[in-house]
Amino acid sequence: MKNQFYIALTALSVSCAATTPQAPTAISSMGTVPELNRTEMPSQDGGELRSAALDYYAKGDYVRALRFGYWAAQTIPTDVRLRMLLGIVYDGGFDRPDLAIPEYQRALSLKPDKRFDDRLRRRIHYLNRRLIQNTSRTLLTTNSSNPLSENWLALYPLEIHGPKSPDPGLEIGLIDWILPEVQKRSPNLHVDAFTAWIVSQVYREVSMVPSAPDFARWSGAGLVLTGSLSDLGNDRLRLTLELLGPSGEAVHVTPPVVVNTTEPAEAHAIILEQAVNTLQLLDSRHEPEAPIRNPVALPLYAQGLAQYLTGQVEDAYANSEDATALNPGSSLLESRRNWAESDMLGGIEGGDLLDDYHRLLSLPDPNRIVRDRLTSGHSLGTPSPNGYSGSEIEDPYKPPRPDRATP
Amino acid sequence: MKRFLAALIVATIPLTPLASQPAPPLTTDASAFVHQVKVQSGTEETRYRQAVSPVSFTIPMTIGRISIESAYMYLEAKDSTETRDVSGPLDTQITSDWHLGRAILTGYVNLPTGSDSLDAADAALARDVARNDLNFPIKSFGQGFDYGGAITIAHQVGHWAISAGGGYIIRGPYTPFVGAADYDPGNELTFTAGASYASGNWTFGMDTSGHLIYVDRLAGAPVFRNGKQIVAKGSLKYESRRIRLTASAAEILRLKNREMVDGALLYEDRDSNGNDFRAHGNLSLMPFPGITLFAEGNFKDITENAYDVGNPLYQGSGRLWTYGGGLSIRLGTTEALTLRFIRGDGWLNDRQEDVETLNARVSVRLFF
Repeated sequence: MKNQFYIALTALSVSCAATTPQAPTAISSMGTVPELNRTEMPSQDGGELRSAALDYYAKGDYVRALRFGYWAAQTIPTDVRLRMLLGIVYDGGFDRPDLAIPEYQRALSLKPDKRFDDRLRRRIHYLNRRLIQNTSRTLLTTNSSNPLSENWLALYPLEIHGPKSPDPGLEIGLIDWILPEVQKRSPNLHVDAFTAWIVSQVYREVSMVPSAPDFARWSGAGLVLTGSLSDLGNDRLRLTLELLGPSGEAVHVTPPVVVNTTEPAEAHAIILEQAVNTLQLLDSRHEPEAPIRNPVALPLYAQGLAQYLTGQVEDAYANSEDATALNPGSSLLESRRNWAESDMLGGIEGGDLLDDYHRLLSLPDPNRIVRDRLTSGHSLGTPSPNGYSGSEIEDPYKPPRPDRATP
Repeated sequence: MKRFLAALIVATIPLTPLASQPAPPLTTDASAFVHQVKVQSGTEETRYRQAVSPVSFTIPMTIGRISIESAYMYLEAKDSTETRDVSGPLDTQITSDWHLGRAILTGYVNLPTGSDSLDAADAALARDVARNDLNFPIKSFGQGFDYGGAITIAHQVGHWAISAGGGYIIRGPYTPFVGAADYDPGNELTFTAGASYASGNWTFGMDTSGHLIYVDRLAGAPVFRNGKQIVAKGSLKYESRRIRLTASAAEILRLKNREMVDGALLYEDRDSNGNDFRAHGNLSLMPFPGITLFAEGNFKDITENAYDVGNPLYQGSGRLWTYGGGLSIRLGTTEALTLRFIRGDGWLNDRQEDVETLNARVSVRLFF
């Protein structure tokens, strides 16, 4: 009996091993996405297409896996394994964040596994940043424009004047830190700080002679918020805010104000007041709270943001983390730190995502395993199954026993 | 009791329609099977034959189905001296199953359309067929008006799925044979729990159940209480597009009965129930769409009970192997035909008797 048990166990292990998909450690450099005739659906049903896609994936034939996966996903749009397969092949194999992001987002919406959530979100953030950069760069090099045409407000760093240079990054940070309040007071207008900063950074890197008016004309946004900044020494800064129209013309310029960076709450209130006048924002019903109150946190935050935009992600994360630690509870600081963290981790998580995907592939189909379990458990609890199928039932029959003499 | 009935009625109403699930077709099954057992003791041979013609009708609902099944049975026993037979209709059973994603609910009603009040000769033949060491599919012509239900819920955690459930059946009174009027068998309560581990196309399962059978009464007075039963079952399943393999092994522990002694229900001195070990394997191949070939094997081992050899209550051990196969063919879109042939060998009463079995079944299913 023991030997039979061990033989059965060994056979089971071998069989399980034989059916486990192979696990590639990387999918990369596959060239361009193959042509796919999207109008000619294969004749197989969804389940067969899915099996074919997963089989091709296990064999390392990612082009066919992609083709069958695409068709299967049209038939079974809620299969998270197919969405992940498409995302991973588009992302790692063909370096196409524009195609990978929608697949990852659909996979995320299907709640595949708790382990996936953070990793997928970070990867999507990283790919999204790359996508915005690539798109902006392409538009600039092909002399096309309007990357921010859907944005009400674009952002351009303050122009620094004077012999002294303020702390690095303040030309960005002093605009960025009022954005949460701007968004609150203009709820119907689209302000996307992340996209706006990335696009303006790419513009400044690629453009031969970058300037705020030229950026305003190129970006296609409704308005561009910018201005000028001078370091007066002794922690004092002189600042003006300027609002540019779509043609680059100055729509509004505030009178210069002087702020002291050792009093960040007061400085924030002054700059916000200027912005409210400039942008003609609604008055707040509540006294706005400064997102940064610690004077040491302000330059760290500003420097971290500037480093993030120039691709120094690890330094950006370190400075943002320090700023958050010095000024806990600020949702603005946590948000900018998360930008850096998501980018830093999302950029290196391709391999880990692949590992998670392979673990997901080896998980049973939830519909099947739950259905099988219910059937198996229920067969023992169901009252009195009969033998009408022609086979003896498993439950021993209890004969009528009206008296002791009955056998 | 009223609460239970109310719960059962509610449980049989589809609560949340699952619009994405395609409704299964309405089906009618008409089948017939013959099960024959030859028991040979020395030179004396007795041949039992059971011929049954079940008819079933399945009505699909949004998230479940209702099945109505009934049958007609002919029993025959032939030895060197005589041939005895009895025939009649069997009970009609109505079952409703509701699949609610992570739960299954079943409602059950047994309508006593089967023959009862059997005379002494017919009752003796029916008792032979009901023996647990033989393997007749149908063990009796019928019982009383029974009703009950069961529920099982399941949850998946990674590769694992766990389930728990329970069922209750209320047995109504009937007259199994002449002289036993108003016999009311005890109600039955079952608890189940199980877990499965799945990897790839393979699923390994473990199930347990506890089965409580309450007191049997005759004209309101307690007469007997069947022993509790505990079942431990292991199963293995492989499923792919063309192959399906299932295997299971179950140990059924049957504890002591209680009997009336001097006006009190007391445990019997020794356990008169032997334990059962059952194993089952089935391999199905689907080489072409619409055609399924299958082979199956069964093993049944009954241990001797706790009485000494020579005691009138002693029951010896027995063992049965059955093996066979068949095919199922889908004819067009509205009919399916299944043919199956099983034969078996074994021994009974501590190898004092040899046994041979044959089972042949044909079934036609119509889809609407």
